[in-house]
This record gives sequence, structure tokens and C-alpha cells, in this order.
Amino acid sequence: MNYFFVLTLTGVAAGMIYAALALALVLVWRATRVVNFAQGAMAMTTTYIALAVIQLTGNYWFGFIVALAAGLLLGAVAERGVVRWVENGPPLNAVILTLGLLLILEAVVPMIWGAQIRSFPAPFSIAAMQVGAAFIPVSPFNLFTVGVVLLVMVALLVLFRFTGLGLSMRAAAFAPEIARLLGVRVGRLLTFGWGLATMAGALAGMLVAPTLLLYPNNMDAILVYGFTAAVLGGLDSPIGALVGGLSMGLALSFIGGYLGPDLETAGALAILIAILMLRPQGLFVHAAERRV
Amino acid sequence: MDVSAIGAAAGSRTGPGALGPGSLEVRSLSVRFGGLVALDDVSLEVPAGEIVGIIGPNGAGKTSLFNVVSGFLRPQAGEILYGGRRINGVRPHELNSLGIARTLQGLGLWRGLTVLENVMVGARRAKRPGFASALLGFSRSDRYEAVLTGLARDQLRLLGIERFADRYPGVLPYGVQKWVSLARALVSRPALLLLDEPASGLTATEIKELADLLRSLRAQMSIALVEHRLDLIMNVCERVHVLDFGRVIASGPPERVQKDKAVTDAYLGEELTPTVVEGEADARG
Repeated sequence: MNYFFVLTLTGVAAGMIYAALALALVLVWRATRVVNFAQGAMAMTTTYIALAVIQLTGNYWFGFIVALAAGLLLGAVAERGVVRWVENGPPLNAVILTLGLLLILEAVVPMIWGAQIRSFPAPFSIAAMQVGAAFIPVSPFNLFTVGVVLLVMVALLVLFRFTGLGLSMRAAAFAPEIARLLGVRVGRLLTFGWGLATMAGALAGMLVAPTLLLYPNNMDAILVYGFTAAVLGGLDSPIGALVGGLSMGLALSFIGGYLGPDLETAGALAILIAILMLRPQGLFVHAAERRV
Repeated sequence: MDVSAIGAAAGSRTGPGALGPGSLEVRSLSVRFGGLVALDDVSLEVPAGEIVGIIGPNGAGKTSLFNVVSGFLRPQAGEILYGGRRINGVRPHELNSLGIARTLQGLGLWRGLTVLENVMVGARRAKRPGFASALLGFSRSDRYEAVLTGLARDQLRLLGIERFADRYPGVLPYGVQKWVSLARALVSRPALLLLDEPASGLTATEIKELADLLRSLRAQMSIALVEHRLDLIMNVCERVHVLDFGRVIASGPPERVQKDKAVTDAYLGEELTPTVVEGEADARG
């Protein structure tokens, strides 16, 4: 098997996870113009909740659904309970607030579940598949990852493009005062937007844990990758998040494969700095205006 | 507040008049920002089925008045009556179901939404499905999207801009964009329409078209018109209120107000109170 081909496939699988987290960041940004630095920690928290449920019931899918539901709830509570109070203040207040949320979650979770590294079950094998005598460097779980993230993307696209609710959400995101005058309950939609975003983050958490294991800051690096992916996609576009996530997955896979795995995080930061210097509006900002 | 009760009460009255459905009356309204007085004991009315102009120099408090009526600003004193019922404390998102539509200065169109979608956001008075069923895409919510689309298309057709339905506002001429923002306000079939400088940026021909449109709307709604273009005001308004430094300095038919000494003074800038700084006055606009 061609080494380049192997790196490409692993890059796509990892990229889908970054895309899911980037999507969470994009949805929050669209709703409230806040970069939620706690997005990773929130995903970690919902994944711990999922693990508790799985251990209790012995059923992975039950835990999966609880994780998504917990994400919806956690996001909504965070917006309504905390972020709402700083929304009209300077942008820095919201940034510091989400950093505070990150610190709180990463402190509270080990108080409840301990700080040790835990293994996490996967619904499908995480071992490479064998076709005849040859191994393909793709596991059934990788296929599941790609499929479920694409499914979420399509569902969101349908929500935003083809429903009255999605139309109101877009209207509320881009001109809240005008939307209000036209009868849109902007506050509710922002809360829902945060819930939806954290649900996407919770999905990323569930997809990360089987291969990278679960511990209180297991999402920190993923947040950096997801954030870079979101910025790459212009921060405003779910499709940009997908393309950005895939680009990050591929780039990091090639950096890790050809230059050494130690350089992955440094590579992500180098890409982030390069984007912010060369094209701070992101690669897909035009697509964001037109299609989202 | 109970929005549906007010809407029903406004609708149940018959015949035009000061307190008829869709009429607006403000009594002794005062708004202050710190020490700055934006509105000072303002009383005026927009009788049902009339077009009433509200004019005055920059910073006279015209937009503040609209902001109070639409719930963006809380008055320190005074009453707002809509269809004879007090609506103090109404919140902006409740206006639509009360039958009040307001446009903002400029266009305020969503650049990322098509013309049709822009208008659809305004078309929300129809019975809407629950949050959950819209989310899960149940059939009632499909029908709801179809109703929204139908209402928006009808409104665009009425204004003769249906052919732009699937375009994005940014690529259209300014006059057409202005028409889109009017369509968005009209699609909810308001009983009271608050227009904030609808003529700004329009050519003379377009202003004539706007005047024709406003006159044709009279049978269906009352209209309050904040405007700098006196040609439009003189052309369509039955009655004009003139604001200056937050006070009503003249009221009456346009031709009489135009000759009023206080009004010409206000517009020519004579006899300005020397203590008021120009910059502060602008900020109130």
C-alpha cells in the first residue's frame, strides 16, 4: 500500500473529527459572535457522561444518544445562564468567560470521575480492515466517523436552507435587531444555536475518545485543530468548517507522516498563524455569504 | 403582556378615527439619555387609515420616537396607545403579531439571504408550527414553509419585483433593494406601518412611485412616515408633526405647517438655543 494513500485516508478520518468540532465553533460564532474556547471541554464533559451511561447500561448507543442530548442541554444552559449576560459587552469579556468555563469544566470533571486516562468503547472495530491478504489502513470506526459527520452536515444544511426555523436562525444571527422587529424570538434561537453547536461538539468528543482515549484535557489539541479548521473555513460557514476540517486532517497527517508525529501540533499552529497573516477572512468567506 | 388580546381588541373596533384599529397615539412621552433630552413631553397621533409625516432637523428625536413605539427604548414618562389600547412595555418581537411593522433607516437587508428569503422572515403572522415539529421536519411544518413562500412571493408580485425573488440583494440596484425592504415590512399585513426615511437614496422618479404606493396602502393601514424629503411628505401626508429638540413645535396639514414660523426657524437653524451643542443633537438622531 502506497504510503501517501495511507496518510490520505487517515487524514480524512481525523479531518472529519476536526470538522465536527469546527462546526461547533462555527455555529456558536454565527449565533452569538463568540469564539467558545470551552467547546472542547464541553465535549469532554459530555463524553464522560456518555461513559458513565455506557458502563451503567452496557449499551454504547444509549450512551451516544445521552452524549448528544447532554450536549444540547449543556450548550443551551451555558448560553442562557452565562454567555447571555456578557453578550452586549466588549468581545473580550465573552472570550475570557469561555476560558473560565473551560477551566471550571476541566477542574470539576476530575473531581467527579478522577483524572486517570480511561479507555473508551467504540461501536465498531478500530482495527484496520483486511481485504483478502491486504490491509487497508481504514477501520470500520473510521467509516462510521466519516458517515456520521457527513450526516450531521447534511441535516444542518437542510435545517438552515429549507426550514422556517433555519431561516429565522440565519436572520437572527446576521441582524438580530431587524429580526426582532419582524417577530423573530432572537434570544431563544441563540440558545438553540448554542445547544446545536455543543451537540456537534459532543459528537466530536465521542469520535475522539475510542482512539485517543478519555482524560480531562483530551480535547485540548483537538480544539486547536478544530479552531484552525474553522478559521480556515471563514468561521461563518458550516461547509467551510467541513472543508477546513478535512484540510487540517490531511495537512497534519502529511506533516506527521513525513516530518514526524511530534510536529503535528506545531504544524497546526503554524497553519493557523499563516492563515491569520495571509487570509484572515478565511478561504470560504464568499461561499459563506452566498450559500449558508 | 398578552399580545393576542390586544390584537383582537384592535381588530374588533370598526371605522376610522383616532382610536380605530391601527391608529397610534402617544401622550406626554419623555425620553432622556442621562442629562440629554431626546423626547420632551411629546404628544401626537396617527389616526387610523391616515398617512402622517414626522419631520424635523437631525437629532430632533424622530427615530427615538419610533424606537420607543417599537419597544427598543423605554420612556421615562408617557403612554403609547395602539388602536386605543396601551402598549407600553411591548417588546420588539411582539410588534409583528400586534400588526405593527417598522422599517429602519437604510436597507437592513440580509445579504446572505435571497430576496424571497428576506421577505419570508417578515411573513410570520400565520399560525406557525411548534419548535419541535419544525425541527423534526414534520408535515405541518412543510406546509408552513410553503405558506411562508407563498405569502412572500405574493408580496413581491404586488410590488412588481417578483422577478428578483431568487437574487441576492447585494447585486440589485438600490431602488429595488428599497422595495424589497418595503415588501418585507408589508408582507405581515400590518395595520400600522412605521417608515424611517423610506425615500433616502431614491431618485425623483422612484420617490413618485413610492408616493403612489403609500397612497394605495392607505385603505389597509395607517402609516407614520419619518422623512427628510419634504417633496414626499407634501405629496402624501394628510397631517404633519414637526419635532425639534425633542418637542412637537407644530402639527397640522402639510401646507400650513410649511408656512409656520417655528418650523422655518427650526429648519433654517435660527434662534437655536445656544446651550445645546450640535454634536449631541446629532447623536440623538
